[in-house]
Amino acid sequence: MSLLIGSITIGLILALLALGIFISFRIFDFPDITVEGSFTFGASAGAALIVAGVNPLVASLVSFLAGMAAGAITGVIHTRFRINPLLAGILVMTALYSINLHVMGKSNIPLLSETTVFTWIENLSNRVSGIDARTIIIGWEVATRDLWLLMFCFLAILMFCCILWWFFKTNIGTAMRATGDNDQMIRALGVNTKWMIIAGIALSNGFVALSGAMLAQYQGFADVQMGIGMMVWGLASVIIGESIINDRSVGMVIAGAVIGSVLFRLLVAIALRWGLNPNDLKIITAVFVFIALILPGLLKYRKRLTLKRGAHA
Amino acid sequence: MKLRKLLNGILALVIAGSILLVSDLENRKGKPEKAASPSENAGQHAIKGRIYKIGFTYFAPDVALDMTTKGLWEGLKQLGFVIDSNLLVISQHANGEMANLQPIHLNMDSQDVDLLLVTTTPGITAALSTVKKHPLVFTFSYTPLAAGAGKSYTDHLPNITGVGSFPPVEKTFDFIKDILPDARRIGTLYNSSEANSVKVMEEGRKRAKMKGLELIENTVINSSEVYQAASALCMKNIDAVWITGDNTATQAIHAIIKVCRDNKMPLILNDVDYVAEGAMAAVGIGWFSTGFHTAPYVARVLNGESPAKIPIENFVEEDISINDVVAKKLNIKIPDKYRMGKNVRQKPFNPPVRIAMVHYVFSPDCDDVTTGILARYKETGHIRDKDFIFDEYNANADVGTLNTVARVVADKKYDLIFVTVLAATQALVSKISNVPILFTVVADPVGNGLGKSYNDHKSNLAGIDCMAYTDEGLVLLQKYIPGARTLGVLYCPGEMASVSGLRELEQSCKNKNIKLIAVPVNTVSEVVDATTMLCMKNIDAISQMPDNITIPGFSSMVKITRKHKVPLFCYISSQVEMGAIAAIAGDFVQQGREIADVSFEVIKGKSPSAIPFSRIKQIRTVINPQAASAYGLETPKAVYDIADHIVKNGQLQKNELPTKKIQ
Repeated sequence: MSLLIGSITIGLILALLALGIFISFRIFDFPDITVEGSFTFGASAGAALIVAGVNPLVASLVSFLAGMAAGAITGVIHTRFRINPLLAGILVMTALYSINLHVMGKSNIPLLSETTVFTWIENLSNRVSGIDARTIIIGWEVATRDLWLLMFCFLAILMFCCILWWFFKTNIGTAMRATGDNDQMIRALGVNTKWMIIAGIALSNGFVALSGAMLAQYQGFADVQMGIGMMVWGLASVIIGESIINDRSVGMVIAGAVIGSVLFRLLVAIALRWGLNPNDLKIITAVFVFIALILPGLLKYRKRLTLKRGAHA
Repeated sequence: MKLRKLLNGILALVIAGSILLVSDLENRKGKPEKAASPSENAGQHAIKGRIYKIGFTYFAPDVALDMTTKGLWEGLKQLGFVIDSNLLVISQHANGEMANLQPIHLNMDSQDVDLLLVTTTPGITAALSTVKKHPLVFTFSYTPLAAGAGKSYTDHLPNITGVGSFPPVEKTFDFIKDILPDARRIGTLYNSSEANSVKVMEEGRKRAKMKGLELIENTVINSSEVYQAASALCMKNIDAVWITGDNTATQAIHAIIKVCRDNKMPLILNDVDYVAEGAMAAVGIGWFSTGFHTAPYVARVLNGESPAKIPIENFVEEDISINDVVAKKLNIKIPDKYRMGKNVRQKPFNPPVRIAMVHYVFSPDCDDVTTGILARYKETGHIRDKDFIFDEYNANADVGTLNTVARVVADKKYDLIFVTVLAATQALVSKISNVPILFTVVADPVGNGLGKSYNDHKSNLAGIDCMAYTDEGLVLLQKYIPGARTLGVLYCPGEMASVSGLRELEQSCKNKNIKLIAVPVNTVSEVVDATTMLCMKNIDAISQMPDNITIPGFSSMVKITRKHKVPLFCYISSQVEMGAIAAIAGDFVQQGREIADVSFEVIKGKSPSAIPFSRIKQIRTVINPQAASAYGLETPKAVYDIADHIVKNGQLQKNELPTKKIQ
C-alpha cells in the first residue's frame, strides 16, 4: 500500500513535467529537448538555494523562473535565429549541463538534513497526527506522513492544472493554442507568433524545472544526471493520457497528462514489485505502456463487434 | 460524455493500483500478529513501567571499550531496555589511574542503582573489595578469575557474574609465525600490576616456547612511561612487537604505534579496534560481540536474579584484522588464509536473510561489487535462495524509477539492503530508516551528507567509500619514473566520486610537489580527444582514477597513450590487465567482498551505527611489465619484489617471487 501511495506521489510530482511537455509538444507541436536540462536546472537551483538557507517555497519559485529563462533561450534561438527546434533544444540542454555544475558547485547536493517543502508537510503531519503515526487503510498499514505528502502533491497539482486550464481559456492562452494549430491564421489576426512560441516554451520549461525542484526535495538530493531520460518518459505520459481519455479539449488533455504520468509510474512500480530481472525492466515497461495504449481501442472494437452481432440477430 | 472519458482514465488508474495492491497482499496487516513465544528466558526482558538504573565504571575512555558498550546497549535494547527511556546509566571512570579505581567504586556503591557494571580486570578487583550493597556484572575483562571473581566459572563469589574474554594468544603466535617466518624474538610491553596482563604473559611465555619463539618483556607502571619503554624494547633486537590488551599500554597505544612505525617494526595487537589507527594487525576479540553477549547477564540481574546462580562465561569472537597499508610499508606479505579475515563457514542463516541489491545505473564497477558480494557469500558457505534471497534492482539511470525502486525496496521489508552510487544511497536513506543500508562505490560519504563523520552517521547506514589510495599510487609511479614532475588525469565533473577522487589526487600531488593537469570528460565518446589533448600537454605520466566515463573508455586511453608514449597508471587491476603499467588496486570486486563481511556482522545483530564508514582495507600492487616496455619503461626490481600480482599476456597472475626479508 505504501508503494501505491509512494508511486502516486512520484507520479504527481512528475505530472508537472508532463504538463510542461504537454505545452511544448501538444500546444506548439515543438519537440523540446531542453527539458532534460531544465529538469536538472530546476533541481539544482532549488537545492543550491535551499542549502544557502532560502525558504524552500521561494527556492521552488525561483526554480520555476530559472526553467522559464532556459525555455525562453530555446525559444529565442529557434525563432530569432531560425534554428531547427530539435537543435535549439539540444544546444540549450548541453549548455545547461555545465550551468548546473556551476549552480551546484559540484555534481550532487544532498538535502537530507535540510528543510524542504516536504519536511514542512512531515512536521505538520507529526504535529497533527503524532510523531511516526501510522494509519490503517483496508488492512494495510501506512505511515500517516506519506498520506499527507500525497494529499499535498494532489492539491498542488490540482491547483496547477486549474491555473493552466484557466490560462489557456484567456485571450493570450487562446492565441498560444492557435499559434500551434494554425499560425498563418493567427498571424493574420495580428498576433506575433514568435513571441507566442518563446513565451510558451518558457512556460513549459518553467513547469519542468518546478517538477525537478519538487523531485529533488522529495528524494532528498539533486544530481546533475537526474534529467537523463525525462523527456521520453514525460512524452510517454502525455500520450498515454491522451489515448486513454481520447478527447482533445484543453481540460481533458491536461487531466490526461496527469493521469498518464501517474499511470506510467504505477506501471513501473508493478514491473519492479514483481521482482523481475532488472535487465528486463525497460522492455516490461514498454510492453505495459503498449498494452495501456491499445487497450481502449480493443475495448471499443469489441463493443462494436457485439453491437454488429446484435444487429444481425 | 466528457466525464465518462475522464472516468476511463480513472478506471485505468484503479486497475493499475489494484494490480499493485494485489501483489502487495502479503504485507497486509489482516493476519494476526505472531503470538510472542513463551521464552525460556522470560527474566531477560524488561518489565513494563519499571525504570532500571545501572552504575557503570571503567578504567578510561577507550575505543575497544566503546565497542563493547555499544554492543551491550544494543543487546539490552533488543531485550527491551532502552537507554534514557527505561534504563538510566550513571557512569564514572578512573582517568586511566589504577589508584582511582577504589574511590570510584566506593562512590558507585553509595548510589541508588540496581547493579554495578564493571569492566577490565583491575576494575573487577577493585569492585570486589569495595562494593558491598549491589550485585556486580562484568564484561570487557581478559581474566575475571585472576581478578578474584572466584575459583571457577561455576564456583564464584555470590555477588558477581559476567562475561570474560581471554585473548587468543596461541592464534596470535601462529599468525606472527605465518607472516614473519624468520621471526625469533617477539617484544612485548605490559603493566605487571595488572592481573590480566600477568595471566596473559604466563600463557604467552608457555605458548611462545612451544612455537620456538622467545618473548622479550618490558614492564611499565603508568602510561606516561610507555613511549620510552617501547623505544627501549625496539632496541632489543626483536623481530616484532606484540601488545595484549593491557590497560596501561592501550592508553598509550598511539605512542607504541609511532615507535613501531619509526623503527619499522610490525605491531600485532589483540584489539582489532586499533588496527585502523596504524597497527599492522590484530588477532583479537570482536568486542562488540562480547558486549552484545553480556546483555542477557545484565538483564537477568537487573530483574532481580542472584548473580550466584549465573555461571561466568568466557566468550571470544575471534577476529583477525590487517592493516594493508602498514603491511605494504613494511614489505610484509600476508598469506592468503588471512586475507578477508577468517574464512570459516558462517552459521547458516535461518530463516533465510532477505537482501536487496540496488543500483542506479548499469556499469562495470557496480557489477563488480555485486560479483564480489555474491562471491564472498559463496565462500562463506551461504547458498543463494536457501540461506539468503538476493533481489537485484536497477533504476536504469532514470531518477523517477530510482524513487520507485526505493519505494519498492522499502515496501518489501528486506532484512538488509546493499546499494551502489551516491544518488541511489541518498534516495534509499531518505525513504528507509529501519533497515540496514550498506553502500559502496560512494566517494566521500561525509562530504556528501551521509554522516557527520566516519564514526557518527545515520543509525541504519554503513559502507565502504571508493576513494583510491593516491599517496601509495604516486609512490609506485615514482618508482618507475623517479623524476616525474607533471601528471595528467581525466575526470568527470558530473560524477561526485570522480570529483572527490580528483581532489584527493590533487592533495597527494601537492604533498609530493607534483603538478597535476586535470581534463574533464562528460561522455565516453570524449575520452579519445581528451586523452590526446592530455598527451600533448607535456606530462610525464597519467595517474587515472576509475569513474563511470574512463572505465568504459579505458581501452582507448591505453591505445592513445601508447601512441604518444605517455605512461599510464591506474587504481584498479582490470585496467592493468587492459594495458596500464601498474596500479595500487582497491578493486570493486574487493569492495563487494568487504561490504559482504560488514553485512555478516549486521545480520548477526550489530547495528550499522556501530560500524564506521571505512575505506577499502585490502589493496594490492598489480604490475604489467609487458605494458611497461610498450611505453618504453623498464619495471624496476624493487617493484617486482613488492608486487602482489603480475599481468602476463593480459592475464592476472600471483607474484610467486619470495618476499623480501625484513632487516
